[in-house]
Amino acid sequence: MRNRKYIEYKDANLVLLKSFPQLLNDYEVLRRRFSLINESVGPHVLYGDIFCDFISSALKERNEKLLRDAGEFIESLLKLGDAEIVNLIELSVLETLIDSGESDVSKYFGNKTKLSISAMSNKMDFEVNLWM
Amino acid sequence: MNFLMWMSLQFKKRPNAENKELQKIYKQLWRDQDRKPGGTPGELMREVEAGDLNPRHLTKAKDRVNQLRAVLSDRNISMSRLDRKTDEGVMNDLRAGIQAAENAK
Repeated sequence: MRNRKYIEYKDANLVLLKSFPQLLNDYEVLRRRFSLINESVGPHVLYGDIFCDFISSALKERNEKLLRDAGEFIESLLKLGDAEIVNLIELSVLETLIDSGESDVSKYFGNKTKLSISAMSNKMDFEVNLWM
Repeated sequence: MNFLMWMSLQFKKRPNAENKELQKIYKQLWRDQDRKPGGTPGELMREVEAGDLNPRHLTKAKDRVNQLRAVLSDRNISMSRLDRKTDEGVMNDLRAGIQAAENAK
């Protein structure tokens, strides 16, 4: 991730799967299903469903390393991604985590991620302080 | 959102589903903690109405329509007639928002 200068939305799935190869099996299930309609897997689906489930599981297992990696990954996409990547993280990852009330994950978040969360309080009704 | 746009949405709040996969998708589209009603289709329509030429919810709406289409096409997924009808209604709401966004460009 450090060598990347800019991440485009079209590469969103690839970037996630390279960083978290343990998601490949779940991705393959999605890929087979999307192939029924001759479409590729939409990043909002991969990130919102599979990546968020992965983070929730890591939280339940208290897997510090995975949670740190996930937090750094989210932060780097917010810093290096194009506008669609930022939408992807905010609308499908952070909203999902906020909606499920998993504020414990916020201690692995960087400044940029916390800024995004803070701005999202205009749209969603949640206790922002729990996420800072 | 103007009255006509609002009335064109079939689902102002999250619909019910027996099928767990549909429940999960609908939870992505209508958040428990949303301050405004209408979920992703409603947000998209509000963005279009505000004159946003690159509405934030457009790509998400497209990705989720494809997911709902793919679920409907998967013969391994058992789905009641009511779930199928609801799925089609949700797709219609998303497509209406997508269409409005495309027309505004």
